[in-house]
Amino acid sequence: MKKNKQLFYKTTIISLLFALYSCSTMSSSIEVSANIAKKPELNLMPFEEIVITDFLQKKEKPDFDINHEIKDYFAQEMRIKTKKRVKLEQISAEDEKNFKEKEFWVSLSDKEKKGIILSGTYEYKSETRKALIKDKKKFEDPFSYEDRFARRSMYSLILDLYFIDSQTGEVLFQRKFSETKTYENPNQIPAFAFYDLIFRIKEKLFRDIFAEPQPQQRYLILK
Amino acid sequence: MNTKTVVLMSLLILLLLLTGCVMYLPQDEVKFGIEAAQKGLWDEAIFRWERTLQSNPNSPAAHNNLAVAYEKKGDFDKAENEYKKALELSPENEYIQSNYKKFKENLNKIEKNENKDEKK
Repeated sequence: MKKNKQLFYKTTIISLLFALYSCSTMSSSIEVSANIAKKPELNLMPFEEIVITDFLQKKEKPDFDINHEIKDYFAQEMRIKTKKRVKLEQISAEDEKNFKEKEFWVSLSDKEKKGIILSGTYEYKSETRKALIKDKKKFEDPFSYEDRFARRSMYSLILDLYFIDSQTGEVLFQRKFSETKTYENPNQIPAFAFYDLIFRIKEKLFRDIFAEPQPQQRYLILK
Repeated sequence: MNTKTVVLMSLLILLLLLTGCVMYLPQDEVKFGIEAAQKGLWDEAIFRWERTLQSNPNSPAAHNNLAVAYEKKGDFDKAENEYKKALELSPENEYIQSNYKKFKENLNKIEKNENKDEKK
């Protein structure tokens, strides 16, 4: 009799423990990362072609033809992304004011084709910076440090981009992108640094104009 | 207490626990939806959470999860409705509050862009 009673209590306690365990292991929320949709800032669908013009240089002249590099780079990237015809034109705004003058762009463009003009200004800067850093003494005591000056080269690319309707001259999208990168190598080749920077700008530009969904965190809940 | 009674009592407890599991069905549907969403099957997740709402229209979890799914799909109007319903049912829930805050931030960005387009 006593044994049976004990058995009953044991069974009840074990069952309750199981029930409590299953309740405690059930989390009330789960954080998920979802690619949340965005609205595209520019609709390229109605346009038959993309016309890339010369870019207006704002400040110092670099060692290489940066205008040519920007045009080629965007021509290739836009062609791949949009599958549209991309035309390179040797026309350029004479002044920054021209970007907002509708007549200026209408007079330059082909009236038969509905195109979108990509133009803008650029600024490419480089400078060498010196930094005081602590370095291990070589061949002597490995635990002692000595101060030394390190040279770093820093490159900046500022691109002010305009997307203009070729038939109306209206600015459909405009944004200024600024990217800077520092290299440990003081003799960094400017052209290579340029490609690092323009790649970053392209990523940001495409995220805006093609509304590439961005990963964001949200909570899904159970109760 | 004889052996028969003990066995009967144990069976009764087991039955009660099983009933608990059966009663848990709508929540199971919510859980299933979450698992589907985690695997990227958002349509399946929407189906599950909508079904949950048919049997339990006052489930803040289902409303919140549906809102996230609609947001993911780019259906911002439906998402806002669902977030509002979830917050009405469970205003203190910090997970829903956090989701809604992020949703609003995202939406404000979009609205700003739309206003810019209109001005142009």
